[in-house]
Amino acid sequence: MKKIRYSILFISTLIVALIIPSGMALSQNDYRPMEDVEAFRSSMISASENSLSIASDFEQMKHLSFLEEDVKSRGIFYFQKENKLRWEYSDPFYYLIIFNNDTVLIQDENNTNVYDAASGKMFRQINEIMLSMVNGSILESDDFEFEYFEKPSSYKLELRPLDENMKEFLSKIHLFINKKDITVDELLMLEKSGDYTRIHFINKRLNEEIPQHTFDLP
Amino acid sequence: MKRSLSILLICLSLIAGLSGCYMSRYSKSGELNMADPAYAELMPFSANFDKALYKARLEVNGHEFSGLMMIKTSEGTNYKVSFFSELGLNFFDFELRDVGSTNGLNLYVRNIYPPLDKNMLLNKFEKYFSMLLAPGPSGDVRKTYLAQEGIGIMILMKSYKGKDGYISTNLIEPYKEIVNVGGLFKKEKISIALSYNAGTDSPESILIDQPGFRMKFSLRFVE
Repeated sequence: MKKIRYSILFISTLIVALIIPSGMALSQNDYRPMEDVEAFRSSMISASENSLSIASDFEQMKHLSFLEEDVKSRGIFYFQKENKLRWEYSDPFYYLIIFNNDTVLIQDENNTNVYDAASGKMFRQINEIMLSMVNGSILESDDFEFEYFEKPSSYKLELRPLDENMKEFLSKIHLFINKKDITVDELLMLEKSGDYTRIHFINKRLNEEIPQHTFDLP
Repeated sequence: MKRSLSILLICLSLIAGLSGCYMSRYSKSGELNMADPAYAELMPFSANFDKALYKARLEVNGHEFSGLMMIKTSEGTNYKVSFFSELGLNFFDFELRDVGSTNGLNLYVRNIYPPLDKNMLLNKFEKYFSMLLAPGPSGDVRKTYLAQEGIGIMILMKSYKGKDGYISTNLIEPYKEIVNVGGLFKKEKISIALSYNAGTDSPESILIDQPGFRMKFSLRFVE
């Protein structure tokens, strides 16, 4: 229905689902090819299976290469198995995305829109991808080409989109995963234009009880 | 008989045309020499403007694009504009260059999301940003018009597309509305409504509307 909305939701779902399996900013240097990819994949799947919910603050920085400026924002998100998500920006503007089973809500200070996820192919894909993230099967996805790296404190996954729609936005996604708890510390989205967006997850709370109204739709 | 019918049809079309004439809302009020540099400060983006971040929402042909837009000066009277989603993904990067056309800036596309990459749409963006960011009516002698209802003074000037009208309450406060009129009956083609917070170098809100074209573009100042 609205292709751009779906694309945004697709990315947000990807972010949330991947954070299930890493708390500190990581240097992107000093990574070397991962020695035991299979062991890493097993630990991702195991961590995902044990993660019923997650709540985390986030700080986002968008680099505008053309304007040579950075735009910073922050907020909080909640995720609950199987497929409930609240992605809420609070500063410098209010913006909210809620996934609740087959329904998606997008809200800003002036507008609220609710979409039926089941009504569109893209929404079905989003749901499938989210579930695959939760159960760790994203690593089997045909939508990305994966490269695996590590250093003593963390793993780095580089995902190159194969899906044509995603390629219009993204050239690559980098995920920085904390080796201690196998959760995402940082996400880096690189665009063809030279822009990039870095999202840093802080103050993560795993398996904390999240009030159900967090995912309520109007 | 035929001749009478033709005259009647011409009269009816003239009446219909005049009823849509935007200028009928205003009455002539002579000329104004706008050589004083203070008149340049009536423009939405002041001479001291450097950059601003806006919450932006673009509705075009039933599609919605929401996110943030940064507008930044570049090399004097040129500007750069980036529009991107809340999650950071880029919709477009434009540069607007002052190449001396009549109240117009030339738009150059540096990057654009393919569904927005349509010539007709890019021409619209070029006109909207020109009305907002081009030098405007200051620096020359201009015709002025007074609103027949309410309070408003319109400065009308030729532009590279039709005529642009800059409307102020009192020629002290910045322009609250910019319109583009054109065609035989000077119909309103584009309307830009503006609001301000005191002491800022750029508008608090910008609402761009083009009757007859399914497009709305709204901006609200963030920082």
